[in-house]
Amino acid sequence: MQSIGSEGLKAGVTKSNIRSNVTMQKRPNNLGGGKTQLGPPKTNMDTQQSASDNIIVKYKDTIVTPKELVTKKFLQLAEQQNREEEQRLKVLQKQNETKVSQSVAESNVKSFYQSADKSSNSDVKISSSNNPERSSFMESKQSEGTYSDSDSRRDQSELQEKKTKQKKGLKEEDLDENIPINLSETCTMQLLFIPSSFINSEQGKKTGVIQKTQDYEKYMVEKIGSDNYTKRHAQTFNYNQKHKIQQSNKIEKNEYGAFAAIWDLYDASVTDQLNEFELLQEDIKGSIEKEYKQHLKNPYFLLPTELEAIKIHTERPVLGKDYSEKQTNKTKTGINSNKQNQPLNSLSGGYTNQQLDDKMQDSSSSHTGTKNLQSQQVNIQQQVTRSHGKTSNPMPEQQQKQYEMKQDEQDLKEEDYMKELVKRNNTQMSDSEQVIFQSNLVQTNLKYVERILNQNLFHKQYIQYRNYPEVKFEKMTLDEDLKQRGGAFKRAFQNKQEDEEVVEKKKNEPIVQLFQYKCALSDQCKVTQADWNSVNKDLLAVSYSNKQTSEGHIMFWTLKNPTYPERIITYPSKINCCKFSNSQPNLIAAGTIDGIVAVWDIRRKSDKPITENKELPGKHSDSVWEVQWIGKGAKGTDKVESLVSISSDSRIAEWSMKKGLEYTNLMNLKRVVQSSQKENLQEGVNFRLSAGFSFDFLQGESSMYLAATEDGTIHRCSKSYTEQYLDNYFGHSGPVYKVRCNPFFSDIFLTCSADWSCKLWNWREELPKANFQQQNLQDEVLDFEWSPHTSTLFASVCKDGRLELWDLTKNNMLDPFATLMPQDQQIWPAKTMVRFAQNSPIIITGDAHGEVNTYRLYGYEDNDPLIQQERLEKLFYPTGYVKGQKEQRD
Amino acid sequence: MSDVDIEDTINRIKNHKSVQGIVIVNHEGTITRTTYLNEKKEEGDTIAKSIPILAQKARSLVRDLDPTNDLAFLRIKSKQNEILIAPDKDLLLIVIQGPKKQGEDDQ
Repeated sequence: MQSIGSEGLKAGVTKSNIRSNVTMQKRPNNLGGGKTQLGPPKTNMDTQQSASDNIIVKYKDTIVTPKELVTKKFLQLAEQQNREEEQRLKVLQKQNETKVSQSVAESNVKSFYQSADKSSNSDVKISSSNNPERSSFMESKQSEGTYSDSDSRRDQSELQEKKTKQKKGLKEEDLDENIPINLSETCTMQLLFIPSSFINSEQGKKTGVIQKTQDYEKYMVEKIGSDNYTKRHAQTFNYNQKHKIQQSNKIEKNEYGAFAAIWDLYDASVTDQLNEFELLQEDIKGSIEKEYKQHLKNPYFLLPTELEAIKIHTERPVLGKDYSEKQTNKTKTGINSNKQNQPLNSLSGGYTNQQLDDKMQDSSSSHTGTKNLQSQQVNIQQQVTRSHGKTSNPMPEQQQKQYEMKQDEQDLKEEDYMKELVKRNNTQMSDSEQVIFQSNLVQTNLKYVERILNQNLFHKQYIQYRNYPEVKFEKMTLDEDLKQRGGAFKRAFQNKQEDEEVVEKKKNEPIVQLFQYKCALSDQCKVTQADWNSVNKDLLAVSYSNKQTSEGHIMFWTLKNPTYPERIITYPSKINCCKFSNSQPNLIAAGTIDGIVAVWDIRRKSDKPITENKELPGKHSDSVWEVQWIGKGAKGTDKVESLVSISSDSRIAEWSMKKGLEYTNLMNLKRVVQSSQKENLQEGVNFRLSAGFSFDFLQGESSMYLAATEDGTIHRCSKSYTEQYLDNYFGHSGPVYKVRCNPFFSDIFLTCSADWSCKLWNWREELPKANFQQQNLQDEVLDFEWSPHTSTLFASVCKDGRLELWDLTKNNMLDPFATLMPQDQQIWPAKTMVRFAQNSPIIITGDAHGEVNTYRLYGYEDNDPLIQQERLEKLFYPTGYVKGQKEQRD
Repeated sequence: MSDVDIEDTINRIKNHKSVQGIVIVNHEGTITRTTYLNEKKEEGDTIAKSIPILAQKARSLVRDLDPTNDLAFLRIKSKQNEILIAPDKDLLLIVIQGPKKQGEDDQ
């Protein structure tokens, strides 16, 4: 057992070798052997000896491993050494302090070996064969393997010397000295050790371990291409993170809220249905127009444009412009020549531009006004020059010639026109407004507003007009009162205080004025005739003759707006009469003082009549006093209607509208003298013509009609005879202005005349049945009308401005039961027209000052059509009347 | 021509006996025309601000009930006056009408 060390060396296989072949028992390593500096010999020994742990050594009757042995020995030796050390330390400390540890360590080693030598008796021997290894670590002092006392002394002396030297400082020799450094491995630390296990194969079968291993091998093979497993890298090192602070621009946020109502959804669904293409088209059109408009203002605009186009795009409406400018017949040049004729600022009854400016400032246009002015001025220049430069455009010759001719005319007109445009700029609207205002909706809305305004004002009157039963909110007792007095009266919607008065009033005054139809224009006109529309019973057409401008107007009034007519038609000559067609309610015929008969279609916007007999043959040479629409079959029932007119040129003509206006002479009115007067005259009076004022066809007999003349005679004529009268009725001493048959009983007709009276006739009798003339009446009766509801009622108007209501059953036909006349010193204008309304108990009158007054008639609400005729028959045929009875004369 | 009519009508409305004022507002809320000027400007401004909202609400109501329907006119009768509102595609026409005077009964 000598050289265990050598054996250890020999068997100094590497750790790994050992471990793979042989199982080793785990031994705690001497972890304390971490001394790096002078531990190598020990550790070497350790490792070597650990390598040879398997060698069992016998030592003092105990079986120990060499390692154990060594450790034991070590421990013993260590104890010895410790004691010795302590002794030496004390000695050395005096000498050398710095090198104590080193030398002690050395001395330890040496002593160990010394002791090892000393203990060579023991089995364990640490040979000096270690020396060469030791020397491999240590470069010097190889001889230190055997350490003797002499050495120790030497060392001590050396140490002393070194100490003294050290006191002086390091010498160069010291620097060159080789300082031994021991590097050694640390002890091996096992972190994980899974030893393999060995099992007897039979045992393996039992426990299934073999199976398991086989399965595992299979599994390893399968794993390679299997989908159940993917290779994935995992980073186990998380790099240190660094916080980096960054600043960016503030993120703008916008909040938007939207709300979709039911109709929003509906709208969306509807618009989707529209053709997208069309929508796009419209959009493009709109944008093009906008652009175009803008460019037009630009003085450098180069596209050739017609003057009219320019005008249209740059023209802006003037506030409070004269109504009559509407009536413009555009010439071929496209400029409204009328505009040149009429002064711009002539406003009829309205306000001048200045006043308007004062009254209403338009905040938006005031800004744009000046701009527009400038642009307009520039534009004017351009337009004028442009028109001159137009000849450069290639145009067909004819057009060009025409154009050039007109150019000269135009130029002057243009300049004037442009100047006017500039003047107008102050009161013009901006473009955006213009666009907006042009929409039809605005018009209708404005209309509504006006109507509603009036409705609020005239509310009570409307109710009275309509014959609505008025509801009283206040006393209930008064209702009973009224009932007692006679239920025919309507209960009033009045204040408490006025109740009684009003009721009294109604009893006494069956005529109550409601409102007036009048506007600024009508103030300068005279009312000539009026007619209600058969379909729209609220629509009233009134014909006027304008005293100032010698024009004729037809104004269409509606109940809903008494302050302004719905429409005004202007005609160059004064209009004497007007009448709606029964079969075609959109047609209205009128006769003028020039003898012209014209027909308008009110559905059209133009003021121009659809037909007029202006240049046609057969035109009356004198004023037309009455026109009527006569159906060819029974009156009013046939769709084919023809116009019949009577005029001062003593002709009654019938006009058919089939082709233009063709006429047939119905009658030439000749003067007829009463037989009693004939003797006085020498000449053949039969050949003198007399002017006719009015006519009326007999109901039920389309060929017979009555004509009233200037002579005061009424003739009964037939369509089949144009020269001969069937009958003559003498009685009036002045021109007869009107003749009308009773709408219920056409045997009876009434006439009114300039001889201050009205007369009632039966056409079968030659003498008048009754004469209606009030005692205090000293003026002409200009018009009358039968009531369409009550057969015995008629109204007449007189030149002194009075309105009389006559009832054949009352007052013995001597006096009117109601008169509306000027009081005392009042002077009323002459009333020229009276009409009954068809749908309500209303009378309207027109007078020479253009006012159309509306009166409510009380007391005649009970209109049973059946009894009407009876009443009349009773009056005139007390013995009884048999229909179809032949005429007594003829 | 229709522009003239419109202007005429506006003027007539303005000069109507009982009309206290008229304001025309466009769809953005800016006043296009008004008779509330100078000392009455604030009144006109409040009218122009608040009434379109009401008209919009009324319109919304009408259309909610039946989407094919649309608001034609809105009339608010108060003790002292009456407010007439006529909505349009681009404009809102507001007219304030005062009370009927007693003397106007029989004209």
